[in-house]
Amino acid sequence: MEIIIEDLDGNITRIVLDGRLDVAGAAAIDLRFSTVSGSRRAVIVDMARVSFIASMGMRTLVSGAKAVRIKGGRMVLLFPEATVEKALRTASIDTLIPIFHDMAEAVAAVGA
Amino acid sequence: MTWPRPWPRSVPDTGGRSLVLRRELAELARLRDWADVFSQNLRLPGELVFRLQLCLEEAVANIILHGSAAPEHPEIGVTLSESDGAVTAAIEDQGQPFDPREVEARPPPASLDEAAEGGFGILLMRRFASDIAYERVGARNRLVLRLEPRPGEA
Repeated sequence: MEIIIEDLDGNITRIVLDGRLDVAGAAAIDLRFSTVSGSRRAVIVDMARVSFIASMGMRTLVSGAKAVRIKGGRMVLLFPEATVEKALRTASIDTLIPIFHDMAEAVAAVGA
Repeated sequence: MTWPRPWPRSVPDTGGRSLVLRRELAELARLRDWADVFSQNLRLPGELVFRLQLCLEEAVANIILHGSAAPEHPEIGVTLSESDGAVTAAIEDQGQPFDPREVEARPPPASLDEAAEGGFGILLMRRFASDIAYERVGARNRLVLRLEPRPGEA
């Protein structure tokens, strides 16, 4: 599991995740993900290259989203692949961290 | 490492495959690779494979993280079998009794502030497996998950 942090215009942070968000994958990114989330107010998590997710991965995402929220900010998920999105919606993660399939919409959602 | 014989049992002999895991999270990678070979040999649809991978990971991770092992028999045994496109996964361990069906289903949180960070595993297993059966057999927990193909699943 790899994590890449990008700074976009408007103080928006794009976190790109690449790999499997299983127990091992979640553990691999957890510290960096939570550190970045805890210090940013507008976070877009690009999930396009996430091929799998299980509960530990969801826990990492929710934990990060809560950290952003405490700072008065917002986190959204972008481009999750179909089966990953299905798993997220099954666990109602989408009601906590909105899912977008359009970059402009994601930017608008975190930027306000 | 010995496993009391006969093991596994009560799983119909449909050419199922069995794997014995150490009670360590690092074993989940081995479990996944092994289940992938099983899935590929049977050409299972991708979405069913996803559901199977998820259910196996949740069930076994639960045992490793929340179960308590009998020191003489810490291993976890997993058997996979398939019949008419439906996959059956039997997971056995010799820890303290733990029936995942008894875990209370939490209602979805109303907001991020109220949300707990964890607890999604049982929910996912319940939704992604067609059937979950549990029995305590002597000193063993025996969890049997059945995953039937779903309409429209690719």
